[in-house]
Amino acid sequence: MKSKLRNKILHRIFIGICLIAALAPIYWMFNTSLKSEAEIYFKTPTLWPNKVTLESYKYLLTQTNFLNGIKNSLLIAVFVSLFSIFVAYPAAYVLARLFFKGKKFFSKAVLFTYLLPTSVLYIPLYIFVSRLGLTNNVLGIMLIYPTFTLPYVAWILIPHIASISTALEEAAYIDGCSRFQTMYKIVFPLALPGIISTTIFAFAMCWGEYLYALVNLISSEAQTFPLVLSGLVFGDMPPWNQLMAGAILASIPILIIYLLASSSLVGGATAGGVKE
Amino acid sequence: MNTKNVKRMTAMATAAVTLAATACTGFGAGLDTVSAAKTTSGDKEITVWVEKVFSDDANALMEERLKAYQEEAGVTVNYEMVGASDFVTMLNATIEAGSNVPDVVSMDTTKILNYYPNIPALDVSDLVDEINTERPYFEASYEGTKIDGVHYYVPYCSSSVMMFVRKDIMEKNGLEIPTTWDEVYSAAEAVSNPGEDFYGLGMGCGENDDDDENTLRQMIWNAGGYLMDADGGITCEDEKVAGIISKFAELYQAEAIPADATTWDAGGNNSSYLAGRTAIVFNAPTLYNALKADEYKELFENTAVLAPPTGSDNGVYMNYNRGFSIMNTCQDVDTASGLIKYLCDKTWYDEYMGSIAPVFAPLFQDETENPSWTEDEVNAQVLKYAQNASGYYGYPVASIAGRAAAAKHYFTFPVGKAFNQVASGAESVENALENMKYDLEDFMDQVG
Repeated sequence: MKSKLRNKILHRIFIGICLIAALAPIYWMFNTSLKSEAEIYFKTPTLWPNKVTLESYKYLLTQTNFLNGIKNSLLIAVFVSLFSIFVAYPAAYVLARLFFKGKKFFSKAVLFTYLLPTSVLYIPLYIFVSRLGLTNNVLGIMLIYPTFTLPYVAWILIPHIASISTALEEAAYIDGCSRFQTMYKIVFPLALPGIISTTIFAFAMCWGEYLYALVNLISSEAQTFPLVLSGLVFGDMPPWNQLMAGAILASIPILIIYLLASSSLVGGATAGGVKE
Repeated sequence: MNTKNVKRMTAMATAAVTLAATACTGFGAGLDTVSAAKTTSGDKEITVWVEKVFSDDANALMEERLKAYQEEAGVTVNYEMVGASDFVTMLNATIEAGSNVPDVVSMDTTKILNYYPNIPALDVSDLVDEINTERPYFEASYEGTKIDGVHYYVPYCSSSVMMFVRKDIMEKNGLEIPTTWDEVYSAAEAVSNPGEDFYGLGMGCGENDDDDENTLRQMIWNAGGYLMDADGGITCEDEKVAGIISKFAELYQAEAIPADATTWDAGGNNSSYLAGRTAIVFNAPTLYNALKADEYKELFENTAVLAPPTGSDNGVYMNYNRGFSIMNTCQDVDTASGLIKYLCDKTWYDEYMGSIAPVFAPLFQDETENPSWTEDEVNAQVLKYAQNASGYYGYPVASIAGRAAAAKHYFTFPVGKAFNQVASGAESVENALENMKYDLEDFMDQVG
């Protein structure tokens, strides 16, 4: 009994340490965002601002294009993440379920495409987008981002789909379902937790992306929020409070999406569905 | 997962798509091919990228001026105010792609040299001469911005690195404000109190400390040491260079420089000064602007801002001139030249410079008679700096290849690295200089 209690306490302490390690940087961001520029440079950093000020938030929201940047980022991230799922799900299904010549090659190609570094691709993709006349336009970015979200989403979904028992599909065929119906009416709901978590990651990848947006979105009207924040830096004295305020505000949509989707992130949906 | 959940998730996805669709229609600005300030005015069209400065008011003034040119000259001006930290990456992407390259861009010598041997800007020497005839530049700006006898950009204003000194600390220790490097060193030792976490000299040599890299170079030049000679020969293994490195290491080991200075980035020196840890630092006047905050009232009143000291052999400051280039893809050079001349109009120029003083200083000789720049103590010091800013990476090498190698080499912060190696005891002075020479030779080979 004593040993159980001790283990429980140790677990709690360990979780507490992990929580502190994970939340401390976020707390420090928040703390810095509420400080005046002068207080940030105090010899002894203050754990809570001596004088709480919302000036950095006010500046960001009223004197910069931050809100417009958030709007553009949201538009791009929502569109690209949904588009990626729309295209990658059937691709992942095919690679997980069907047998055809070159399947191994295609599976690996998906991974290798994802592994291509941004720094190699950004100039060719800029040329591609500029020839389409879409530089300085969020549509151009919507064309570019799937180059990294699509292979990522497909690669993550392949094992999710493969883990679903084929017996369920066979039962559906017996009941008269077509391949297409099976894919969307049987497998899709069962793979939903994986699809949702992958969508969130795809959204986050687009949300914080910097390099592609930097070279393609020059106009302040078209820029995403990371570029707006980067534009605040001048010389060797970055406005840390404004940058941190921007980071705090920018993390809110991700948190909301996660909270909305978290109830659906449950495993074991297929457990017990098949007697094997 | 039950049907209810699937329906819920489908509803969420539908809502998200609707949101995206709404965004597409409602947030139309993002979907149009956007130009921040495109107003049709005549057939001619020019694209201008101006590097944003720290002041929103100054950026607004510049935008108004570009709009005014559009109206007065009947030219459509597509301008973008581009963030300083992103400027080069964005410009390089357009150059690499060979499309959407702006016609006129903010430029400086180091940027130009980093493109060598494929400099994408036009020779604007005639335009610079024309402006110089109407309103003469400081010699340091006119000559110092030439590369191999050619102006690739029109010099416009100058940044600087000033010396910030704690007057109260100097007074308390019975010392005058230092005016020579030797006085700086002795004052630093005299006022340091490591027990109280207070140090005389806030000068760093971290691996990314570009700020102090420049100051360390000035110290070397002013003592008569050089990394290269006029013909491009590497001369860093020199007694005078070694002497300055040894002096820095001596100060570091005597705790006249903070122990963490070997890990600083460019923000290290100003942070240490604002935190009240150091008595003397060398920094851009952005630090002066920061000191104006209410919280620093006392520190501000106790701070003297001066042009850095000269040395035993020289009085050379690093040239941080910047201006405007016409890119070699520009189809209408006359309009581009006209725009640059329009930005140099004396009345407007003086108003604009007033809005960015003292972080940037003007470059014209007649400013030495302008009360705004002579009566304000800090402005006067900044102007003095601009007048003497004839140093550059590789100074005094004259060839463009040598200057390009030195400019590219700068981004590895070789001087700071050598100071760091010696101060931290990792290398002897001789070895540190040998490493620097090896690096520089390697760069020379790459640049050709």
